[in-house]
Amino acid sequence: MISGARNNPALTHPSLWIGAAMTACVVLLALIALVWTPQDPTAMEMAKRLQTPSAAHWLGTDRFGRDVLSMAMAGAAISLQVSFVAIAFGMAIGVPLGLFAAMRGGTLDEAVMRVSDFVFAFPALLTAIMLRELFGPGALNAMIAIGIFNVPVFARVTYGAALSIKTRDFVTASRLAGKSEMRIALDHVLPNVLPLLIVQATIQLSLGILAEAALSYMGLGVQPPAPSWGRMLNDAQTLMAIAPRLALVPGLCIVFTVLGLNLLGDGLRDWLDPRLRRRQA
Amino acid sequence: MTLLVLDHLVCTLDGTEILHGVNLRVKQGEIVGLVGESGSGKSMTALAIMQLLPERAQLWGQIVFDGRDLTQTSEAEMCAIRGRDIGLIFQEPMTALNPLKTVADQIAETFMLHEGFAYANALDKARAAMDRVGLEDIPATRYPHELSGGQRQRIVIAMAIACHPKLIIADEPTSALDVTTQAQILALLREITRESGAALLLISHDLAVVASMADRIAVMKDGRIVEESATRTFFGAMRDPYARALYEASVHRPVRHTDTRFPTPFFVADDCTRLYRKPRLFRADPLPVRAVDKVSLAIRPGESVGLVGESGSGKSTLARALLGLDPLDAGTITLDGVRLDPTRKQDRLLLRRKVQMVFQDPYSSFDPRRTIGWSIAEALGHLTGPVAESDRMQRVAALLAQVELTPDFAARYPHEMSGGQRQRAAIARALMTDPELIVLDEPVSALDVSIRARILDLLAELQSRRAVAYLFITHDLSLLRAVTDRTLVMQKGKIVEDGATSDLLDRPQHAYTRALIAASPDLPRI
Amino acid sequence: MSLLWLLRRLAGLVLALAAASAVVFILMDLLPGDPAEIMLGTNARPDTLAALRAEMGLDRPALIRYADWALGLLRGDFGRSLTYSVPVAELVWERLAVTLPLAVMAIALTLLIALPLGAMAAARRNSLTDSTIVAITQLGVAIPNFWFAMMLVLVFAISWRWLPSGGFPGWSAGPSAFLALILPAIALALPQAAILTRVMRSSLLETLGEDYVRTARAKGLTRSEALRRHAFRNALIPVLTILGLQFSFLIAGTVVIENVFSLPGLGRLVFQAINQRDLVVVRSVVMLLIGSIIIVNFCVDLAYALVDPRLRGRA
Repeated sequence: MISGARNNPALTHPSLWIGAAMTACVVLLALIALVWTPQDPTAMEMAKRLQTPSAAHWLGTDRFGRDVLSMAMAGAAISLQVSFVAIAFGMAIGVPLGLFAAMRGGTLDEAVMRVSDFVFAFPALLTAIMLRELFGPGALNAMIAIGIFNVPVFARVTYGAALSIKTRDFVTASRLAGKSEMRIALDHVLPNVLPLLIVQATIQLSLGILAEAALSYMGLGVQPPAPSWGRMLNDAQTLMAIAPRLALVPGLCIVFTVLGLNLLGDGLRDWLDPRLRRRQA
Repeated sequence: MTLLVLDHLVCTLDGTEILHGVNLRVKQGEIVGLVGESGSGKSMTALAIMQLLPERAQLWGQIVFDGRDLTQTSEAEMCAIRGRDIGLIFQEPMTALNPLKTVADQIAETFMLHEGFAYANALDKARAAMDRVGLEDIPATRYPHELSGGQRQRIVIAMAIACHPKLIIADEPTSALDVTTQAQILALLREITRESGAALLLISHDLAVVASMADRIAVMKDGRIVEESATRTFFGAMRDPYARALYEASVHRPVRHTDTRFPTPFFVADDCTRLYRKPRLFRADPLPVRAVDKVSLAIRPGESVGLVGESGSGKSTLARALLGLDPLDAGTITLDGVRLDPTRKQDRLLLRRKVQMVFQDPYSSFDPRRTIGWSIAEALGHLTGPVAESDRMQRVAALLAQVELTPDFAARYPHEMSGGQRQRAAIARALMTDPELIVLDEPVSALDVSIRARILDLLAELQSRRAVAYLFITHDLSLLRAVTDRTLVMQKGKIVEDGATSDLLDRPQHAYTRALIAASPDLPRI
Repeated sequence: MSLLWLLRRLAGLVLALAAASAVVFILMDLLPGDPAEIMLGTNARPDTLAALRAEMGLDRPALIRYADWALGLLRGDFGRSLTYSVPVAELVWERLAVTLPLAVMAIALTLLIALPLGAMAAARRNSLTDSTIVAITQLGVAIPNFWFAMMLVLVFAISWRWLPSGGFPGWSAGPSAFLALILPAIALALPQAAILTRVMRSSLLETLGEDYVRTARAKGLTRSEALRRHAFRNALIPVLTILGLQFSFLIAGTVVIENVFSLPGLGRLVFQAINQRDLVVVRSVVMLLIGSIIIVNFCVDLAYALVDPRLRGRA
C-alpha cells in the first residue's frame, strides 16, 4: 500500500516533500560547512567591519569584519549537531524507559512516569543555568540541558504507544507462541512504535534548534569565537539600528530550518498515521 | 398513509457511488426493518433521511417525508424537523452522549429547542422522559459515564422520542449491548412506537432481531434494496438469492461428528479463582472482585465445549487464566495428568504447546508490520526445537492449505487480506504446534454472516480431521447449538449451569440460563 | 471532587517541590565544588574566601545546609545577595512587579488569539480561512521568540517609533509602564499562540467528529450550535494540557525576552546574577521558577476535574 503511484508520498502529502527538501538543504549546507566555508568564520578583520553584501562577502560582514555567510553556514553545522546529539540522548534514555515501563506495568510503570512528569518542570534554559557551573558554558552544556528535557518526551510517547500496542491481540498471540516479554517488546512493540518516534524526533529536532539558539543567545551555549545563530543574534542586537541585516540572516536561518523540520514532521505523521492509512486501504 | 418515501436515492461519497437508487416506503405507525451486512449502505440511508451526510457526500433522488421533499428542504427547516418530527437512535450508546453534560440537561435541550420551554420546565419534562424509558431510579444529575450501556441507550431513546416524532430511525440500536439488555431495549422501542403511533425504521445486521420486531423487512446489499416483503411472508417468499443466502447463513449448522472415542478428560481445571482489583494509584483496591470464582471444568479430546455468558461474566478472564496469560489466584490446571504451574516458564511453554487460541477481532490479531507467514511461524523455535528456514516455510504452506488458503498468503501483510482470510490465517497459527485444545474467543462475531458460515464449516472439518478440542466462547446461543456438544453457562464469575448443549438449551435449569434463552432472538425455521 | 483525592494530589505536589529543591541544591551547591571559590574566582585572597565560606555556612554538612536553605524558602527567606547586599526576597519581590504582569499579559494574549482562531479554522475546515490560519501558525511555531522580539523592536521602536525599544520606567510612571510591556508580551505570546491555535483546531476537529456531536445534530441543533454547546468544552481538555506544558516554555521565554528588552524582571535578575556569579540569587530564583511551573501544572490537574466530571468521582 505504501508503494504504488496512488500513494506516492510526494503526491499525496506536499508538506512531506517540501519539508524534506528544506531540511535536506540545511543539512547539506551544514555538511559543507564542516569541511569548507567561503571564508574562515572566526577570522576578524577590523578593516572590513560592517560591510554590506558584495561579491567577496555575499551577506556582508559583522562588526568584527567576519564573513556573515560563513558564520551562518558554520552556525547551521553547530546548531544541527547540538540538537541531533540532544535528541539522540533523549531517545537513548527515554525510549527504553518508556518501553520498559509499558511492558512491566505496575508500581514501576507508575514511578517511571511520575519521574518523567517531574522532569517536564525543568525547561532546558533553567537546566542549562544550573549545569553551567558543572560543565561550564558551551555546546556540551546545551546538549545535556536540551537532552534532559527530551528524555520524558520520548518516554511518554513510547509509553503511550506501547501501552496501546500491548493490548492488541497479536501481542497476546506472541506470548502464546512462547516468546518472552523482552522478545515481544523488540519483535512487535518497538517496530510498531517506531513511526511515531520518527515523527516525534523530527518535531523535537526543531524544538532543539530553537532551544539551542536561545541558549547561545543567552551565552549559555556555544561560546565565542565558535559561530552560532544565537550568538550572532546577540551580537546583532546592539547594531539593530545601523545593520538590521545582521539580525535578519541568522533569524531567517532558524525560521527556515525549524519550518522545514516541522513540515517534514507533519508530512510524516500524515503519511504514517494508521487511521489515515486505513481510510486509504 | 405513507409517511416516508425514498424514491431512487443515489448517494456518492468522494465520487464513489454507495447508494444505487434506493426505494423504500414507511407507513405511519409501521415498523420497517432494514437488514444488511456492514458496508451495504444502511447507515448512509439513515443519515441521508436526516440530511446529516458528511460533507464529502452528494445525494440525488427524493426523500418525501410527511408530504415534503427533504432533499429540497433548507438547513434551517431541517433543524426544526430533526428531533421534533424525526428521532434518531445510534448504535454506540457509550459515545453518543456528551461526557461533560448531565443526562437530564441533554434531554432537556430537545424540549428547549423545539417546544420553547424554559430551562427549569425543560428539566421537569426531561425527568418525565427518563421515567418513561424506565430510568425512574436514576437521578437527573447523573453524567453519562455513571450509567451502564443499556441505561445510556435509554437516555438516547428518551431524547429521540421527547417531542413525539412521527418517525424514529434506530441504527443498530442494540448491537453494542448484551442479549438480555438488547431484549429490554427492543421491548421498550416496540412499546413506545405502538403507544405513540410513531413509525420505526429499524436498521440492523441481525436478521433475527429485525424479524422479531418489524412489520415489514427490507434487505439491503451493496447500496440496493434486494428483497422486501411483510415479515409474515418474508421467510416463505424470499426470491432474491442474496436474501436467501443471508437467511441460510444465519441459521447455518456445520456438519459435525461428535468424537466419543476418548472418555477421559485431558485438560482439567479445578477451583480456579482470579481476583480483579481496580487499578488505583499507589495502592490496591481493598475489595477485589472475584472475576472468576472457583471454576472447575474438564475437557475431553476432540470435544467441543461452549462457554456462554454476558460481558463481564468472566468468560474472557477465565480463558486468559486457562491459557496461563494471567496468573491464577487459586486453583490448579492439570494437562494430561500433569499438574502445571503457569508461573513457571517450563510449565507455561508446555501449556502453550498444547493449548492455543483464536481471537475475536481478525484486524488486531496480526502484527500489521509482519507478514502472515512470519506470524504463523512465530511459535517455531520457541515452543519447538530449532527449525530450519526451508522447513519453516513448508510448515506454513501446509497449514495455509489446511485452512484453504494458497501458499502465497504467507508473503502477504494483514492489510492485504479480508477479515475472513485473516481469521483463517489465525486458525492456521493456532494449529502450528499441533495443540490438543484451541480456545476460540467469539471467533466469528466480528465477521459478516456469509463469511461466518464458512469459518464454522472449516472449524468443524478441522476438528473431525485432527481430533482437537474446542473451548468455544460466545454470547450467541444459536451458535452454541450449531457448534458445541456441551455448554457451560457463566454468570458473575461462576459456572451456573453445565450440560449437553441441546438439553441445556431445551430444558434450562438455572434462572439465568432461562433468561438468556428468552432474550435471544431466533429466526423462524422454514 | 473528593477530599481524599485532593489530599493525595497535595501530597504529590509537596513531594515534587521537595524533590525539585533537592535537585537544584545538588546541581548548584554540591557537585560543582566550592561555591565560595566560584563566586570570588580562583585568585581570591584566602581570608576573603574563608569569610565568605563562613557567611554562607559552607563549613557545615551538606544536609544541614540543604535543610537550612529549603526551610528558609518556605519562610520566604531566600538568602542574601552578595552583589546587591540585600535579601534575595526583596529583589525577587521588586522584580516580580515586572515579570508577573508580563507573564499574565502573555498568557491572556495567547488565549485571546489561539481559542478564536483555532475554533474558526476548525469550524471552516478546508476553507481559505482555515488554510491561511494553518499556514500562519506553521510559521509562528518556527519563529524564535527572542528574534521575533528583535524584529518587533526594529519595526515598532526603531523605524516607526511607536513603542519603547526596551527598559522599564516603573509602575509609578503610569501608562508608559504598560506601553513598555506591550512588545515583550507580544513576542512571548506569538509562538505560544501559534502552537495553541493548532492544538485548538485539531482538538475541535476531533470532537466535531464524535458521536455526541452527531447526536446533538440529530436533536435539531444547527452546526454552529452543536459546536458551541457540545464540541467546544470537550475540545478544551487537550488545550488545557498543552497550556500547562507551555507554562514552562513561557517561564524560559520571559528569562530570554526580559534580556532582549532590558526589563528589570526575574529573568534579567537571574541572568545578571549568573554573570556576576551570585550563586545565592541564581539558586533561589531558579528554584522559584521551577516551583511555579510545578504549582501551575498542579492547578491544571485540578482544573481538569472542574471541566471533566469523569475525573471528579462521586464521594
